[in-house]
Amino acid sequence: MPERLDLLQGTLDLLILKALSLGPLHGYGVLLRIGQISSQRLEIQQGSLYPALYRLEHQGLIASEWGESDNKRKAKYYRLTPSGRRQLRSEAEKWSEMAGLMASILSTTTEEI
Amino acid sequence: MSIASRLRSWWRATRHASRMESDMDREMRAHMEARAADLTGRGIAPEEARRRAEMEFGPVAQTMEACRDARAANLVPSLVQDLAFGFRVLRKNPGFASIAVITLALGIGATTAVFSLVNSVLLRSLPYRNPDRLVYLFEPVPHITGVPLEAWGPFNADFYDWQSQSRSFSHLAIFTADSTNLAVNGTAIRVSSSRVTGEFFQTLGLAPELGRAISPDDDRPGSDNVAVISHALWQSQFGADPHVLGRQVLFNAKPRRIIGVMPAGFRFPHGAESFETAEAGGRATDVWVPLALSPKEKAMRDEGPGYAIGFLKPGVTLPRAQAEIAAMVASVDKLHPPFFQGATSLIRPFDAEITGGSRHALLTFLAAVLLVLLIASSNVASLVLARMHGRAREFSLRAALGASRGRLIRQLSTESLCLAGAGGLLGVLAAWLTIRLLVHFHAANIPRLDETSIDARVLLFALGTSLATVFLCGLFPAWPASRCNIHEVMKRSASRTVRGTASNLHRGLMIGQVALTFVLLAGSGLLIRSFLNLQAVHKGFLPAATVSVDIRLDARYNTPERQVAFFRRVIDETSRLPGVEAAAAANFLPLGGGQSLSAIEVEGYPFDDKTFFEQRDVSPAYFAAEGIPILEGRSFTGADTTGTQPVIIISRSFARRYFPGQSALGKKIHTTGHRVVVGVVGDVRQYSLETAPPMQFYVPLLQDGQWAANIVARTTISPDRLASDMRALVRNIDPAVAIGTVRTGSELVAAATAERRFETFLLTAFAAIGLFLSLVGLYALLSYSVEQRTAEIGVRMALGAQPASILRQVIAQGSTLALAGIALGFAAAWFAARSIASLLFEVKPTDAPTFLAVAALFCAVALAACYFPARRATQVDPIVSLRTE
Repeated sequence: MPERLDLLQGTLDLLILKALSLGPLHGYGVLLRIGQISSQRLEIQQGSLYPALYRLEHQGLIASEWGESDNKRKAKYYRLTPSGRRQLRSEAEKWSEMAGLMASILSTTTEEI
Repeated sequence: MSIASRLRSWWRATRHASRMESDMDREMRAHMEARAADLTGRGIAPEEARRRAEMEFGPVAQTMEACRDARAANLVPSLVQDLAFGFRVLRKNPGFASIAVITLALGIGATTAVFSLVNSVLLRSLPYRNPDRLVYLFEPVPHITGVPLEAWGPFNADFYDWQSQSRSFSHLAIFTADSTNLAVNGTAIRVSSSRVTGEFFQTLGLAPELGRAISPDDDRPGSDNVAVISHALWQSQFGADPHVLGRQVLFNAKPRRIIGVMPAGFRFPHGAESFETAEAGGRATDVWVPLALSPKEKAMRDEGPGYAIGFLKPGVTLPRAQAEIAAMVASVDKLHPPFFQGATSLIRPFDAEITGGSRHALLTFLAAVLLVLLIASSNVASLVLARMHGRAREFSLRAALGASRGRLIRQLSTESLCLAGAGGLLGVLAAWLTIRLLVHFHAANIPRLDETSIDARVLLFALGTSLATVFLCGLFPAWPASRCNIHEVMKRSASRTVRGTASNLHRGLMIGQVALTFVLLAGSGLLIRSFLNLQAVHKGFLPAATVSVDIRLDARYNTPERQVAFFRRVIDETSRLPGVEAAAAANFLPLGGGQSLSAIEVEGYPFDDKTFFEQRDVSPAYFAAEGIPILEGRSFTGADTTGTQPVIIISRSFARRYFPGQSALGKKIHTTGHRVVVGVVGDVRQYSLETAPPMQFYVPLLQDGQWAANIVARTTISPDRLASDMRALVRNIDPAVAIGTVRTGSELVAAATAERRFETFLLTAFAAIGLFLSLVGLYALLSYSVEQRTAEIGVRMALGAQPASILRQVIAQGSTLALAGIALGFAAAWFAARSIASLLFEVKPTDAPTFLAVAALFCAVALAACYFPARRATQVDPIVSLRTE
């Protein structure tokens, strides 16, 4: 089993946006999608998902409506709004820039200074 | 994430709270069921699967609370909670709460009252259609100086040129403001009247509430025997009779038919600032009649008895209209008599002309009252701050129990909101009462002042002011308090060492408050000095014990002989009344309003058309009746009448300037006829108390005759007695002539100083409120600091400190603050005083004695405010104080 990583502060919102950018999901579906695309290396405390969803909806980045799930149950589906899509793009850019910067700092050796 | 989407989300969450709750519940239950189903699919027993799903999900109640917070659904319930708590806290501290509320009520009330004055006088638009397109048109002749702009109505023929040719105006009209005898049922009364041209009501865009307005068809000689009356006259003289139309009245002894009644509140032109003239009198027009100039009068280019107003066509700017009229004036300038050549035109917005003069004074009041508000807010802020120190333990406890900093600030701001809300309500009430009083006394001749009322804009202003004070006195002190350090507080409360007395912020507020108060006090000191200077000014006449009425004749008295006969009889009979020492007539009384300026030719000097002399037409006993000293020669006598040698009396300055070192008697002066100087009298401040008297001369009223005159009597009997005696006497001579307003000399002086008295009173009231507030603030700060130091003082007394030294120390603490504030305020006032220079009279804005006196007064009362807390400190019982903790 691969090693599990702790979630960095603030990354949950980004992960939710990413997960929803691939298609509308209900809450539990978001968890499953994140697990799937991270090859089960990220695990999210299930209860902590909802405040984040409500916060994103409050900010207008995602929208929700009640629908029917695969097993014919009522479920609340979330989808990305246009402003959520913009937010995802800019956050993703910032993230990869930061990640690149951190990687290059951490790989610096004595000879290079 | 726009503000709008957040607000929408918050609104949904708040509005549909129960639906949101059930949705949340359903959603989380669905989540756990889905998880359980997944686990069952992996071969786990259903019972166990559900248990695991619930465990993995975590505490549901906390998650739901976090969701509510995320959507701000908690805002309203917790606000209500805060408000309730705030009220409880304030109710437990009635002393603090009532001082704070009263302070805020004073500040908000004074500010709201002054704002409502500004609102009704300067901001509220005039009750006419499109008042911003209404303008005044003047035709001044620049080389004739010393004549106020308002006196330059257009020359008749010029005006009719404009009316027929101008393309800038859709309507133009001229009107007069005068006063007339009106007989309704055989008894004549005096009313304020206006003669208007046909488009007057169209220009203002106002329709009568009954009947019709004056039309261009009425404005012709022969068909002009109509009148429009005011709502007030309709009620007082006709008992609001709906069949008043068609009734006959005698207007200056000439019958006219009533054709319309104007709506209540319409009273133009009387009451507008520019027309406070002797002829006008009164503050509201009662009767409008057609001007009906004859073709000959319309063609005059040297006469212009009326004022002109116009209504601009849509899209025409004021400069464009001005340019057009200026070109028209220039093209006919050659047709003016030589004296009036070089005439120009000036167009001014209507509202500025109506209230322009009061603008500066009102804005000064507004600035002063905002200082009062600032003082009140900072006073409450320092009270809140002092309490904050006392509540440090409460706050650290709440912080320790997990209250966030934002939560603490919110709690404190809601408490201030309660204070400001109560203060605001009381303040609006106080403002309402103040406005009632101000309007009732209507002391200051400020146009439109009596229309003052509290409207939506004033209420909005009061609300804004209250919210601003919440910010100033709640949030501002809450900031440092919310940052309290739990360790620090716990440590401090356990120790018994000397504590910090008051924070720097607290001391800073106090100094600022004292400085602002000083600025107000210095301003009111300067105004008081101006007022005293004005009271002490040498008027040149003795106003006490004089009573005057004005009388106006009508068209039946169309020869000088008839006029002279009438007035001579009135004067003779008045002077025979019991208790009357002397009675006389004059065209204008000192300070009674009205001005007559003439250029004259003096013997031995070339004619100078640039120098104007004040002319007065008076009857023989005038100088005795008004108490004006005769310095040389004689007064007029009954022998100076039509057909005898024309005579003239000149003022002292006139004699000194033109006949230095010699007697003026017997010199010749050419004015209306060649006259001989028969006397020299003292200078009189006729027109205004505030300007030095110009050169003056007098001609006999009973030599030339006059349409109107003021009868003045020096008497010991009451004004009311004299008025009723005179009314009977005049009615006996001619029942169609009414006597005008009865005024005593002291009333005329009071009216001439009313505006200054009003300004002085208002600013002094503000300064007094400011002084009171800052003394309360100083007292509260010292009391608080003595209370905080009870233990320390107890220890020192136990160790043998003398009460005197403790007294000195506390007083020194207070007076240091007061002195710092006074010094700062001194500097600020020194610069700020320049802005009220135009309101001062014979005092420099930087008048050192005033500043020093104000500083000394302030120091004295500040010492008194320090003394009481200091004496309390000396009465500390060491035993008791050591036990307090």
